[in-house]
Amino acid sequence: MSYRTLTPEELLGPLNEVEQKHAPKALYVAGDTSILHEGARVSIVGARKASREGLRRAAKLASLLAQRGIVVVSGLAEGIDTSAHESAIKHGGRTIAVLGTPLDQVYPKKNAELQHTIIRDHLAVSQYPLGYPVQPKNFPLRNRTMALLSDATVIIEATDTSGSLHQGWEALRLGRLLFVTKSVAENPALTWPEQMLHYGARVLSDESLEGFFDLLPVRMTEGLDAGIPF
Amino acid sequence: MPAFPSKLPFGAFLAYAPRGSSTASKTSRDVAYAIKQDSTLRFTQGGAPAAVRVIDYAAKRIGEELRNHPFLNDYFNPSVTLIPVPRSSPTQPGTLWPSLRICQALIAQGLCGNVKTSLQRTKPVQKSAFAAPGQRPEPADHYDTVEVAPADLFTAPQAITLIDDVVTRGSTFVGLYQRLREAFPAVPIRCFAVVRTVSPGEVASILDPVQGTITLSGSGLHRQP
Repeated sequence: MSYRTLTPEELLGPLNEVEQKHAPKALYVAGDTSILHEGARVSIVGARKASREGLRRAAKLASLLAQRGIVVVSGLAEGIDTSAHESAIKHGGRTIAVLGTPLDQVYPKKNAELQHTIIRDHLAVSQYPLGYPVQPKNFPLRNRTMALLSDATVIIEATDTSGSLHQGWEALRLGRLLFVTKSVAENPALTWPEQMLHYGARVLSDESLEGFFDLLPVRMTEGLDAGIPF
Repeated sequence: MPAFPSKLPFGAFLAYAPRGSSTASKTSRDVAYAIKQDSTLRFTQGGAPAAVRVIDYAAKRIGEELRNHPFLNDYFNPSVTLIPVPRSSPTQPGTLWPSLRICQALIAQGLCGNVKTSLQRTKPVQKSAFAAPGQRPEPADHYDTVEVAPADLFTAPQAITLIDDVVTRGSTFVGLYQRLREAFPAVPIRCFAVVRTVSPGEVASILDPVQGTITLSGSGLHRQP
């Protein structure tokens, strides 16, 4: 496997002060980095032990994004992440896996083939150097990096202790769009949706979906040779 | 119910078509997004890749256009205190605040006297971009969810320009103007957004400095242009 080591600024362009605070010093990337210049990037994240409906929602959203040329970002974890990556690929879209492991390791093991496909045809990113020990604390830090790489984050479903919540809070701190599904927002057993909605998260519904797409960047200027447009 | 102004002048510097399909309109989306995110616009010039921090560049361009568009001098001069529009929800410390970043960039260009974060959001208000037409936040929703910082109530600025990143219908400006008017009855207060939306339709030019009017009537809000 060939890979490159880049700073976040080399990968994404100059970061603002808020972005710099939690950005990792280096990112290890394998695959096609041109994906980063192809359009908007939306993270689809959520529970490893997801419900059947949750998996279907993740797959449906990933297919809608893929059809619009929007890159699907996720964490290659079991459950929602896997469903999002697989649906994006199936529908001809592009996808980025932000790993909680180094590039030369896979978690969960059963996603080895999926990780291989993503490295070959899409893009995998890790903030951990080859050989770095895989520890539980890596994964929430990975979620913060995923928020940095994404224009928007959608939490499909998550418990009050889910790692996806780290990404939600980081997205809010960065001023990025954060959506939670209606089923999550209306679940009385959860406390986090109300907290995140108070601080600016929005509910993803059929009505809000088109407005959501309109707010994403096109990244038009990266394909133009026209200088600064004003 | 507070007595909101029926006609509120506003200024804007750039134009953006959220749903336009032309090259200029799509580019305008990227510009507006970069301002809302305090991010970079990446482009190529003569085949070479380049990037610019859009808020800082826009502040510089506003300074350059003062001579071509004299009305801008009413919004930006050394007697003016800039007040950034708060985000649409309460925020935790360290959260990106685009309007404050715009104010800081304008100060860095020497265009205004100072900036005060006098307006604080105490409750979330639904974002207009996500709301169905009948559910869009009204001036009263903005008025009710924002307070003037107590420490700023006792020293009235000489003049205020309320700064927002994007103006859509103008609901935010009308609601927050009234908050500031009640706190500072004798102070001139102006409203300025770096970007105004053009919807429906396309933008011909992203650079389009205008002075317009937000009208509040029984039929609702109307912004022109």
